[in-house]
Amino acid sequence: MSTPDWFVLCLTLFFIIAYGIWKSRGMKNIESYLLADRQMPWYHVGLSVMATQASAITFISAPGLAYTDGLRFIQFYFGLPLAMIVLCITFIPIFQKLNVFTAYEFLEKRFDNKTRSLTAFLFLLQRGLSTGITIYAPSIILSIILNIDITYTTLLMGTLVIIYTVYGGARAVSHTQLLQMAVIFAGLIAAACTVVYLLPKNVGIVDALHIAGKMGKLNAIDTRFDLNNRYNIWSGIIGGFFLQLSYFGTDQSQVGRYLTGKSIAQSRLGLVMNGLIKIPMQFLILLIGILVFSFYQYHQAPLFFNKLEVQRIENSPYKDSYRQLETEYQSIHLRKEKRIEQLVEAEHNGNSPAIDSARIYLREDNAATDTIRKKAGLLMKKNNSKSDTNDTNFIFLRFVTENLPRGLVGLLIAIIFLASMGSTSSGLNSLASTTVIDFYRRFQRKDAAPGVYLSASRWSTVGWGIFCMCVAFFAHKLGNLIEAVNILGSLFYGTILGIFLVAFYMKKINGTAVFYAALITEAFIVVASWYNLAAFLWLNVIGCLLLMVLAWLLQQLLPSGDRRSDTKPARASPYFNN
Amino acid sequence: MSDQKVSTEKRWIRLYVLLAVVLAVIITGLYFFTKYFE
Repeated sequence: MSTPDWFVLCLTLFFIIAYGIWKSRGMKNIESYLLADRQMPWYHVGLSVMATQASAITFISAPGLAYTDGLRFIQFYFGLPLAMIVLCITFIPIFQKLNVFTAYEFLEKRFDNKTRSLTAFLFLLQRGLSTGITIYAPSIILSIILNIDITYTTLLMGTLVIIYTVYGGARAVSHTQLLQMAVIFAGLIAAACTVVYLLPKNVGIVDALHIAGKMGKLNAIDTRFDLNNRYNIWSGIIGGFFLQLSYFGTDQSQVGRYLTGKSIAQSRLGLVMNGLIKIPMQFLILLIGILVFSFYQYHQAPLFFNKLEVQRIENSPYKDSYRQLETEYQSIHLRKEKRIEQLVEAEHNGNSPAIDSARIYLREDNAATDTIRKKAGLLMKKNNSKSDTNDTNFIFLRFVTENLPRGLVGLLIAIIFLASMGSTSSGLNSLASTTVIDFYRRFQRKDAAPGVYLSASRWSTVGWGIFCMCVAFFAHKLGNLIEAVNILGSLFYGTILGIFLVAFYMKKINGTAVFYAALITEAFIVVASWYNLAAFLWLNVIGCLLLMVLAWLLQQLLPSGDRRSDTKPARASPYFNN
Repeated sequence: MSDQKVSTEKRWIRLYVLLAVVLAVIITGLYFFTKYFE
């Protein structure tokens, strides 16, 4: 990176973090620390919710995913607006009226302590692992920029985020996220414009899209129903709906964001805003990946985007085989370049037969380059079984650092850092909330002074920060990070959502039935995922529905003593009279 | 007071319908986008 890039990067980070810390001064209790005194307006809530979901992974992995896999990932978000509607109608009024700190407190009021603790434990496990992955993502960038081992950059990034979150709490998270999202939107638009500018003079954005489209990359909608296909319109709307409902409705990292809203209406408006903006924003990010793909049809793309792995193979006995693959890759690129020129000309002249023939040849060439990339990965694995052979997380970074103008590189790197800080700090804040409210205050110190809980929250943030850093050290084994985070979430979200839906809608079922149903469902989902019984989005649907059915069955089968043992029927509870 | 509550609820329902309509428009738009460029 050049000096102007470092200047822009440091200035942006310093200004935003300083602003967040300044805004969060004077905290005396956990209401301030965990929920920002419940005083945030709707736009703060909306942007905070968006910034929490959009981690660094979104900006590093999503364009890389579009480069290799096309636009089909966009379908993952189709269930989100529908989930927002259900959340606004059901979840928000209940959480706000009960004045809870965490979503899991509600489960004790509705069911019993063991169900609350189990759900909180599943959340801690899932969120702790996911936050570890979100720390790893910016560490990749630092490692590329500074050319040092990822272990050290993970330590540096993790420590920075921990310090900032421990001091600032939820108010710092919310205030910094507002500025972060503004910078993120500006940077993304600048990046998209620059990629188009870098294309050859006679190639416009429409031509770039035609090139990507003819090579099968603009596959935004797939209407075929297939349980084993990760992304199609059905898995997106149905599976995505359950995943997003669970994520926004039961994951404390999100519940904690909209509980900061001044009122029910402000929290609702924040979520509606998220429902309106999320898909267009994600589309823009994926489109940048598509434009990068078109850019590399005119410029020789590296055979493998992770420089460290390339250095390793070039210093190994397999270097000649790797160079041979590079030569093959270059010759296909030259052939492809000529065909693309013919395609653009045919598009300009409206020559349909030439377009059809170019489409067939280009797809063949693309398949050939994919095969060579796979062979390169296998070669790396052969050389070192611990090699990271998935380079999708490095594609966009390599493009940014090698092709974008000075200053803009610094801004884009700052965006990735800010996004990481936003989601990591939300994650740590929610892990601390759940640990202190659902375990420490519940089991250890029931009626301590406010300062005790504040101090416990800060120590808990530090503890979880260290745990997440340990997870980050192993994150390179997980492949594409944006998929890894969502696959991990899908292992738990179906069960957790099922518990909440039983609580809201199946009012005769008690805590014991739902507790055992949750244990059986979670075991089943882990086995189903291990044996690849269905694509990950479907695990959310299966887990949720299975839990509801099992809870109903167990309620019928359990001895009547157990049925009545520990639960107040929800109908009699004040939170359902709204 | 009750009328006011009904009217507020109606406003929220309109907002939710708008959200669902925006989703339908986005999916339809993306479908034609895919078809046009493929």
